[in-house]
Amino acid sequence: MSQVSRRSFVKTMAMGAAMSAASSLVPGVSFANPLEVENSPGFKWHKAPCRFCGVGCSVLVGVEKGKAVAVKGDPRGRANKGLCCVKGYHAVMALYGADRLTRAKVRKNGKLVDVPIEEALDLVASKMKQTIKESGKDAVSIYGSGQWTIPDGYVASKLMKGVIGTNNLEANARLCMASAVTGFLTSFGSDEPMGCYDDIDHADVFVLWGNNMAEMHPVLFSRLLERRLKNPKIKIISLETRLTRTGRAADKTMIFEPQTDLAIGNAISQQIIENKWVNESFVSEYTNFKSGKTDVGYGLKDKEKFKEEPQGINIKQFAEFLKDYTPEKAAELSGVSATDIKYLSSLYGDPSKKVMSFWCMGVNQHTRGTWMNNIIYNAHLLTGKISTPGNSPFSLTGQPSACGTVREVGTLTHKLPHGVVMKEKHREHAAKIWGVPVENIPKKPTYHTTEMFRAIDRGEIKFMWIQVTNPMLTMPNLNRYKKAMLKEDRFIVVSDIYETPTTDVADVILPSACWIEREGMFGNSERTTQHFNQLINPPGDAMSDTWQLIEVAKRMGFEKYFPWTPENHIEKIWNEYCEHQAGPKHGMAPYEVLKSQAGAQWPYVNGKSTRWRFNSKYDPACKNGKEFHFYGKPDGKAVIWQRPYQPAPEVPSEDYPFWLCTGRVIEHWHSGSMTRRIPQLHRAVPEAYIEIHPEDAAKLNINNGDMVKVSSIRGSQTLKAVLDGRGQPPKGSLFVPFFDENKLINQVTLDAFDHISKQPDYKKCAVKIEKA
Amino acid sequence: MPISSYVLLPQPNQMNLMLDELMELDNVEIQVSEDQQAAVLVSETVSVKAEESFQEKLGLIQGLQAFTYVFGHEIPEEV
Repeated sequence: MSQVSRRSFVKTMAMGAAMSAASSLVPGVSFANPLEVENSPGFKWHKAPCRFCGVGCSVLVGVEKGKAVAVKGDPRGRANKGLCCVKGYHAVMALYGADRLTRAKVRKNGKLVDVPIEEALDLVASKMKQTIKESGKDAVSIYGSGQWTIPDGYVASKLMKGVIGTNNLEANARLCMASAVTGFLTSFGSDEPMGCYDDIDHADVFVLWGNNMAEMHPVLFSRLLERRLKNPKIKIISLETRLTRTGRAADKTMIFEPQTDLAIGNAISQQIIENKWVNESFVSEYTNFKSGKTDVGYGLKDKEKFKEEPQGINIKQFAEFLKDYTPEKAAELSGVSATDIKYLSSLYGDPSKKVMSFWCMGVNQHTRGTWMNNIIYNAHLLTGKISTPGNSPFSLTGQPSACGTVREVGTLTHKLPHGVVMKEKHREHAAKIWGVPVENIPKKPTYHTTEMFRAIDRGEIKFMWIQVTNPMLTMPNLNRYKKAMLKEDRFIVVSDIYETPTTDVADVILPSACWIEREGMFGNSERTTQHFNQLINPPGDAMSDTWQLIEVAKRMGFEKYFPWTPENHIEKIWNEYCEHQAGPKHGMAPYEVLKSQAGAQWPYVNGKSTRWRFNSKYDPACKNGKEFHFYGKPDGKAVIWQRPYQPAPEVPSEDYPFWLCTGRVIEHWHSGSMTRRIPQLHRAVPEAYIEIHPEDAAKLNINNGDMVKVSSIRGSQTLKAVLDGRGQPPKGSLFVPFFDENKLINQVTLDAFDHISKQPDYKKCAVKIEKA
Repeated sequence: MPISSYVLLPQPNQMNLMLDELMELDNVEIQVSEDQQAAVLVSETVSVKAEESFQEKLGLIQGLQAFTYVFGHEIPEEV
């Protein structure tokens, strides 16, 4: 492409991106002459999933002369239908930051110095072997990510659980999706949503539970807006703890006191029963009622254990329990009016309305996150609004392969690619495919994420290999874990594409290939797997995380378990992985299908994706001869759980009078290591800030732009005050985005977690503020 | 040489006023949606600083209700 035409090309791309963005901002707008991107010899578009969030937008990446130069939405994409968000359009620029890691580094005499990649890999393998020999196999660990590709996670699981023989494998999806998993497992016995994005095209009501979709899942949110624009009877209801862009766009926004979503959710069930909106035939045919253990703690002590004690109950007992959750009582706790709670309940209860519930971190990063997931399912199960087009409780994911890699491959301490380590049948299944003795796979889970970092602190784990994640920014109560990583006899390996606060504590840094610099697959929120080819070469010595793991495994003497070549390993890994999941309940699409399509949904049966699970009309795994079959449970019935409201472990007090909530902004991806290197996104939001209600600010003599010190009992941080920002917390609440490595807000947050899922709560802790 | 694009939303019934003002800006390309609800604009400026200055000018355009930045790419000056 000539220089002049390159400028023309970029301008055309810019115009096209703006037109797409306009149609998501103002649904229905169209332009008379949509621009076609100029093609030229040497320039070619290739399919890939977007690198960033869990929506799984299908994109086309423009490659010219070995460099990725452009992105546009793939019109074939089920999720995005040709749209992208601002991060997606800039995705390729994340590959070309000036300080990209291209050489391995090893800490020598306290300093990280460049070394040949072979030397670094040798050191990682020898340290891993030495640690196992001296301290046992449970002294080594791998901490991965929902941004791992499926092959990355699969090789890590096989190496750790099958070959080395330790369950010390975790991933950062524990911090974002674990409560969704345990919610699905406790209610349905099978993980991941039963519905799909097509539900958006059928639903009449969208209820967003603590989910700022407008910023976190903007392309999907634009589909909600488009549906409402075409049919004004469609309602969007947003429950949130501060007014967000989503709340501003909703038909009704209910601001609730943190943690009281539990009470509001129970009030909905109470109203459904009191007003006789229960779908009695569905409930009697397809559900059971259970209560669980309620004296459960908050995970604040090391090695805290929990074992559920389910008790069968009936609908009368459930209704009796719900008497504590009348709309009036829930209103007292939550601050949402009883009238609004009744209105919301009536939307769930109205048999003529199809309801879709969405949630993400607000529900999952919650010390009672599993219970909140159960409570949302209760409303859908009581009314029978589930597993049919438009009736869909839908847990969204944050990362591109939190579902595909962490939940499906099972890169968590208790999981296997199919099933859990605690079940002998599942261990035998995995061992047979891996070609290892079943005794290799330990039957007891070891450490969930928070406990894994506590085990480093205590010295039980001495070696940790971190890939595609940045825990020295993202762990709650960060000060404790950073000190732990720096202790003398700990050995930390970090694979990444840029230096981060986590590489700061590394003994070895391995430069990674990112996204389209290698071949791989991601699995998104709606069970869709998307394959991408290697489109460009990684810089310098950078190599994929998959191949780094294989190289280390070979050096440890495990070559026979990973007998693949650089050319064929992704296909071979995929085929082996598919053996674990074979069958109508979780069958995966063949490699050649993934190569040829924008994506395919599991269960993939007889050449077809399954759009609605548990519904015999759509799901070939339903075998009970009835309309629905919740086959994840032995009796084929879903569970309606009795779950009470309980307060948060740390609430505002005289000394720390504010709630602190943390989260994301549309411009930045997680810890910002990629998006802060995209100049346009960095300039848009260059640093973290603190949102304060103007009246609270006035009382403390804080003006817009003043520096404010926010402190908890654990730590403090100083940030610029924003009184009129995109989000507005109510009085007594504050919000800080967590992306900024220079403003580590997780030094302030609390490492309490959900007792069932072990997922920390980043949305609630008690703090004070003062003008700095 | 940054090339950037924006979505522009006019105040009610003020599209023409907004367009008149936009036409006064240098090195811009504009497309208006068929229903006149929105316009998109591509700008080309000489430096990042000039682009920031351009954004300030955009904020002062009469008839404009809101604008949002969508895309940016910096082409080396010699291109």
